[in-house]
Amino acid sequence: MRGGRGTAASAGKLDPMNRDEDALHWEGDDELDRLSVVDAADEADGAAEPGASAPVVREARHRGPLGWLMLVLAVAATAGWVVILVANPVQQPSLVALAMYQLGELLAVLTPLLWWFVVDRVAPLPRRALWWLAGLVVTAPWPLVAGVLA
Amino acid sequence: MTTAAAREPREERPGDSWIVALLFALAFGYDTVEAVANLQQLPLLYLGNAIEGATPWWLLYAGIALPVLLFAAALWVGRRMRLVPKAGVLLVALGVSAQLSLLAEQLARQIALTALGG
Repeated sequence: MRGGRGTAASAGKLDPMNRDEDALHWEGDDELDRLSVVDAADEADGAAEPGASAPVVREARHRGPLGWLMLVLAVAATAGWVVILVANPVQQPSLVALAMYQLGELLAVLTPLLWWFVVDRVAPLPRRALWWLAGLVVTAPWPLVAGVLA
Repeated sequence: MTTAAAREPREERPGDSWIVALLFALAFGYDTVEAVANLQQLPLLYLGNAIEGATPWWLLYAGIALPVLLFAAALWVGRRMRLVPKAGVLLVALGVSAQLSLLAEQLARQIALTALGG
């Protein structure tokens, strides 16, 4: 008798409790469970591989003097971009175009700090200095330099 | 309850990365469309000022190529990352695209002023 009820429950169509569970079950949840297992395996691999992203587990990420120096330089680059935007005349044909242009300007100003933060959080420790230096070159306020040199 | 708590930090599906990449593709696409509009309109501006010989074609074509290259580079850098770091990398690339767009604008202005002055 018990075995028979168990079979009916595993069939799952007539049992009201199972219907409730069905209502809370989303298509693809099984895939998600499998993915968690795969992710755990990836994390284990990623710890040994320098090209992998940082694991989710919070760890102490010491910045050192270079990190703080890079942060100061990123702030200086941001200030340079603010100067560029203040001096930049804006002419756009429509309000939407103007809004998009100013959104781009805001993003351009924030990019040096964003680069620093993303490298700080994401880059593997051995490559972090290299990525910070790359950011220093790429996100420098070059229009200011071009304007001065012209 | 225990199962839900255990699963909570891992609510990430393979499709989520594609959705984020698609949203950023729209933003990078907007930059590309803007660059194409510049390619159409800036030569006319130079022609109107009789300095069509100084039209910076290399700059205009670079303006079209760079957002695409930056998007591809960001996808490559973030290919093994989780959703949030990947979105961060794409956002930084979008910011660099905006910076390069402003640099191109400044250079085009300087080239026109030099041509008009000479």
